[in-house]
Amino acid sequence: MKEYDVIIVGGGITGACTARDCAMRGLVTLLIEREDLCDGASGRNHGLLHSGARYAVNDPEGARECIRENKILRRIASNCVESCGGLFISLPEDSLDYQSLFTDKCREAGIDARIIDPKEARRLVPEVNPGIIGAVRVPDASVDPFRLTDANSLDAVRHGADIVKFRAVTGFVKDAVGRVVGVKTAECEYRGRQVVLAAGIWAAGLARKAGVKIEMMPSKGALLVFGHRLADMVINRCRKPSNSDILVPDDAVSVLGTTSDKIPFEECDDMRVTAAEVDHLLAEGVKMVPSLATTRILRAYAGVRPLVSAGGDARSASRGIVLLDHEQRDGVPGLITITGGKLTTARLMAEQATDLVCRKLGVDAKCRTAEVPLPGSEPFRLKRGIPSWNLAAIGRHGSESGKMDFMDGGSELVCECEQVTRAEIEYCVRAFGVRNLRDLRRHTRIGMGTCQGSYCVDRAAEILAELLPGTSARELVKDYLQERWKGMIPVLWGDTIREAEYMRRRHANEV
Amino acid sequence: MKYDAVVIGGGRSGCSAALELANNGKAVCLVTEGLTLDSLKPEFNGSPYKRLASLTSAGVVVMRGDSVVGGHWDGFRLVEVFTSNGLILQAEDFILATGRFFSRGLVATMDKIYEPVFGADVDFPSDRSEWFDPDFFAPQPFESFGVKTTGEGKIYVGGVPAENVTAIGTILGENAGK
Repeated sequence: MKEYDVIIVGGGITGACTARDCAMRGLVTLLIEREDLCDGASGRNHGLLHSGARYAVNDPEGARECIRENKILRRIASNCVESCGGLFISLPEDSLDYQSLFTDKCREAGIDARIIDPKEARRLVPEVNPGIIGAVRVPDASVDPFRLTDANSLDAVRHGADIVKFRAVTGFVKDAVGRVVGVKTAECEYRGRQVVLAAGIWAAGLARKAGVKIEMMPSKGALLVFGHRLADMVINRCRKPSNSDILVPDDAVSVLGTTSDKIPFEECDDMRVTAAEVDHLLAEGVKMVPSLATTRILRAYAGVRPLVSAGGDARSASRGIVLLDHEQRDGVPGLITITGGKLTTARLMAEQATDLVCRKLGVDAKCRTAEVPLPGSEPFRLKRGIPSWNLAAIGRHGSESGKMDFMDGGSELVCECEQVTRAEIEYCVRAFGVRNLRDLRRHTRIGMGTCQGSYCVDRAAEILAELLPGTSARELVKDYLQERWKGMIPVLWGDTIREAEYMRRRHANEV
Repeated sequence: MKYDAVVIGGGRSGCSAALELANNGKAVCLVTEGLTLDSLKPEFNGSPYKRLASLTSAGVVVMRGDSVVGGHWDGFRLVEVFTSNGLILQAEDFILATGRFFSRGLVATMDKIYEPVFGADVDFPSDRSEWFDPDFFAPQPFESFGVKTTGEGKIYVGGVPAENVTAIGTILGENAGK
């Protein structure tokens, strides 16, 4: 049996970054994930690369972490980041005193926050509420969490890490003195000298199986995806952080969020967005960007923040990085938990966790993840003669796109909304081991556009069934449409109910 | 222009009704936005041109690429309708066959479902979480919503039955008439 130096449990952004860091420092590394990468909170968030401005007033340390990481990710993950910039707008009911406190605190944290004329803000983002009384420009950006996780996992593998997906950790292997020396799954055991829990909110349940208690508080955040990119910058409300006050441009769409509500642990695996949450998000969102009221909503989704309890409500709990050394804290050697934090600071979380792993293992190796560009974000030259509709796939995978074969039918367009071609699907099946269309979506954006898969799902399923022996195209279609449906039903009116009727006629009504 | 009947909507039900009326010697005008998904009844098989030909050869006047946007009422009797191309069509009887959501026979907003041409009364639960089943492949409640009708199939507007406007087809809701 292979003896790992480190086993990382959880294939979200934190786990993928930690696997990359450990592998780059020469550790024999395993990343294990119960589902696909990015299946949890890492794939269900705003896609916001914080400048730190949002935290400047209440959490100066968090703000400083964000701006440092923001600058690092723009450099090492340029292919995953869109440097769109952000605005903090003040509406007539907001205080300009808060604006001046906010800009002072941003500057203290090293965030380049500039007050601009509201007229200038309206010129930059014409969709913004024309009644704004103030605007501050900050270096917020948009980041694709799927691509960022993929890039980290690819680099981990490039540095020798193993990744096991679709296999849940069911318990831990302990030696005679109670040291954690591995993890158990239903199929087999994996042995490792250090185990790192990077499982977000699910760390609480896993830790319990190792005899350790972590007080965590699941905080549900619901978001809405609009059918168009309504504003080309991140729009925030310049006030004490609250619900539904951030609109982020993500690729071709805009995402509005979020709510912040405590939920029971049982709900974390199947979160459903309620009508009340949708009403609330919209009511607040239209104050910032009025055209949200008349724009089609494609779907709603929710993620869960892994807050570590400090009492009180979800919005006031610390969102800082939590690194737990269970040897020191609980007398359980061999086990570490890294949780809390945010997408923006995942690389830093990984660095802190890996520093601790190295100390435990007596390895003296420096972190280089802030300097070395990620796969996809390396300099590359576009090959000549590739049909232009492959540019979306090339844009998504950047320097990795050289591994796609656009010739011999590879340029066949499969998903028109997101311009996914056969070559991209074939590459993703090879590179990421996808099992079905839900997995394929995370790596390609297939079915994420206005048709929500109505048109492309059959074509995509035929190709997948061809590439994955033993799968049935019809079953792939049914599975994917059910997943799309979950996101459509909270916003089932307007053009979305029209799309639903069409989707049903095409895929659910037997003639 | 005055017809015996104006049929609004060229889907399966509208085409069938127009053909039947014309075959019974009525002067019929059919207003349809275009070629629709559901014109699949056996007598309308074949190319869109053949479908059109089967109607026109029976004497139906087909206004394609047009849609009815409203009407003038004399009390509870509809006198004429006007179209987005600016035509005014008068008739003794009107048949509403505009279908459900996809064809915009019904329109859903966050808090209501309405019929956009005449404002016909629609039956639907006010709580929109009752509009769907979480299983995509299960029967969907929203597909059973439709306009309210009298025993003779006449629509209601503001709680009062219209004398000469009959709704047919999927705008009645999936289970209507079964």
